[in-house]
Amino acid sequence: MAFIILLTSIFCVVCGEILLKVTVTRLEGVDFVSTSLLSHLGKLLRAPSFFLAIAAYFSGMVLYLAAISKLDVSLAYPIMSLNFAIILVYSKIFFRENVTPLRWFGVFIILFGVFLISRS
Amino acid sequence: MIDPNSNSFWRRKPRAKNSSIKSKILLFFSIMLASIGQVLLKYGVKSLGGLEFGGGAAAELFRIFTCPYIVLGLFCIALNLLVWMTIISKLELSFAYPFASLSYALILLIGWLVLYERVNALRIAGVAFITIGVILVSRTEKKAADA
Repeated sequence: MAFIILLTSIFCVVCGEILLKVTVTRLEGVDFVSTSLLSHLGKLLRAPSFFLAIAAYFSGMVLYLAAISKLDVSLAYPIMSLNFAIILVYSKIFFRENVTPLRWFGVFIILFGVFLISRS
Repeated sequence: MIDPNSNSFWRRKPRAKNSSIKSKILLFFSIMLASIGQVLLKYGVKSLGGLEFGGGAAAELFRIFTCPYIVLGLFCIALNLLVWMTIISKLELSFAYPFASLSYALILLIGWLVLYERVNALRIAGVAFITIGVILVSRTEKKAADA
């Protein structure tokens, strides 16, 4: 059961990230750094996908906390980092990004690093 | 035929445009904000002596949201959301997202320096692998606009 909660949490976090990307794409790019923060914030607060993204993130966090209350963090934490790989798959499918073998390889090295940290 | 857009690890890439350099500075800034936010949250809940919702959730929430470290930590995380959106509107998601893993390494470093958490060889090895992975990913840049 705790395992299903954890997988749902990963799903929510990935959805949140995809929805954020969808939001900035539909707004034709946002820039909170060099242009007026308020005008961009106004646009953002009228984008439904932004609120969906926040809701998905938040649910993901709550579900993660629920999962680690039952599972060992040393197990849950590396599993959670699977979202790095899942994001690559979805970026390719939804945004037609050019995910090169080197990018895949880099992410697998990162996953291995996270795994090592969780074992310590 | 050699595809001019192919991402070769060994070949030097043409000079990046200004917006790309800005995105990379922002990536660095975003990783810093995320890590500092997490450490502040950890420091905050530690300074509260752990959270306990048993004795009334409202009182505990009040305690949480009046703790300056936690408020500052949440502020960093909210600010990071805006910075992050600016980044992914310019870079591919599959390129930018792996960089977030550097915050694991940075949290470890800050935890060691500021919170006096213990660091062993395995953790250092983990950080090294994450860093190598991010360096590999960083060699595959293709801007969202060209995709």
